[in-house]
Amino acid sequence: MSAAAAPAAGSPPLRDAVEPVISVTDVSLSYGPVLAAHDLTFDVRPGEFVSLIGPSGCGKSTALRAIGGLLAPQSGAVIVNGSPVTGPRPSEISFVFQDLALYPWRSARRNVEIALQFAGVSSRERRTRAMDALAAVGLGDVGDRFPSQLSGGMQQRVAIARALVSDAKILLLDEPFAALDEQTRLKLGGQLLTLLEEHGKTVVFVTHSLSEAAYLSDRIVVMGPRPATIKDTITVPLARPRHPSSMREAEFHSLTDQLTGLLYDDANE
Amino acid sequence: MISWRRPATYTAVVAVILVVWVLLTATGAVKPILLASLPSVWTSLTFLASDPQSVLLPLGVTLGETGIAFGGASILAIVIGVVIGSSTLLRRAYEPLLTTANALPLVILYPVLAAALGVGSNSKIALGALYAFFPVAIATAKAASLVDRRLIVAAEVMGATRSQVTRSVVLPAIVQPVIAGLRVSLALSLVTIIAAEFISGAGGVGYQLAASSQSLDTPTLFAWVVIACALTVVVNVVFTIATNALTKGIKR
Repeated sequence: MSAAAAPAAGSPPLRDAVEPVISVTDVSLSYGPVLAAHDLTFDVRPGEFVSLIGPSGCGKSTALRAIGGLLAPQSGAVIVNGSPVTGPRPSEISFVFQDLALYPWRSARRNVEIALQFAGVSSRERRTRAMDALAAVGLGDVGDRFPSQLSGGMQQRVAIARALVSDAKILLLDEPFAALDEQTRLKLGGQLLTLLEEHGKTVVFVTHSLSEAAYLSDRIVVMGPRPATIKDTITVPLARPRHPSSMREAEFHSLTDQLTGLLYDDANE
Repeated sequence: MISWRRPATYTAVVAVILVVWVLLTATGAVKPILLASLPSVWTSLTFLASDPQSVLLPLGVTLGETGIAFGGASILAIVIGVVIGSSTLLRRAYEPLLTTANALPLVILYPVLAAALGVGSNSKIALGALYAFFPVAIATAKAASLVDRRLIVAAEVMGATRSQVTRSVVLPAIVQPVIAGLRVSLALSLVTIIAAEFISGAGGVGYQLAASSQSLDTPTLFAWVVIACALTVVVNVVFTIATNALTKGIKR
């Protein structure tokens, strides 16, 4: 993995020279007596999009929760912006959960606003910023609807708008598109990429979809089955910005082949 | 369009009751001392209405006692319910206590309350509050323990403090079950207070029922029964309107 790969738009390819915003060092995680992840080490640089990929239940979500400060590592250290993570850091890190965690009694707009409410933003500013965030994800006209009145993809976008509305520069996404069909998933993923680049966010993205990881990421951390260990970290050779046509390039196919190989090995072990 | 079915059903139910009443009294099947005839009850009602104070004062006493008992007990029960329901440990310790206490016939405490607080309003309020407390506390504790953990974690990740989690996540999430508990409590406290007034004291709807019953004034007794029914209906309608407004205020 050389530092020269994955030229992110607008940034020089000297990524190793840049301080990582997230660094995970020798981290082991457990849920009670069950070891969920073992000796994880990787880091994420500013503006980077890193995917964690691996078989279902391998502990990739657990790793994400550790970065988000929801789970203390049993050993090792998670450092974000220079200091060890000991709990949620709402001003630096926002989270999109797999199950979205939208509040059913709040309209889409007020679901987005709640992030700002907890941050102490005035109600007028909350409203404007929430509407802007919803407009950015293409939901400018459904702010008054409740989650139950929105399709799965729209709910997904409300959750993303809620994560984007805060000033936090790090975005952790836990299989946000898992419940969607492949087409919607890739379409939303593409839109997400554009948004994230505009907002200059650093992203850690958990998924079990190879094509999604390959299409969206700068780097992919491939994890083995539980307890998760890192099998390899792969730099995505595709240029930015990505287009759906990126998925027809030879590099894309060789990348997904490589990922399949890595994951398929597990299945045989 | 306003649905005509509901009012029609209610009218029909009331009409059937009145017809049966008239039949029972007019045919002489039931003695007038046990069931007053409709016209005599009407006369009593108009007599009572000629001096509005004679109706409004007892109604005010009963409503006031119920309001204080129900209001005070509900607020306390919601606070305690949320605290107990939010902690697994507290729930294990206190939930059985709540359900057991709720199953006790608390009216056995009335003599004690009357001795301690006197036969005036205070002992009635205390008994009404005892009855109002448990259904709300149990419903709140249960509902608070069932709030989706993920919604709470999401709020914490967004920087919510404990009190913000309670206000913005827990309370809105448990509104419906708590309202159901409140409805039970309201009915229980009203019934208990009227019954306690019936047993002792010199005020309220219950006292009027006792007084007319003991003086064998059956028409006035039934007039007060009608007034008590009307009171219950009005209290429930007000409760429904209030809780609907609350639900609407939260879901936006």
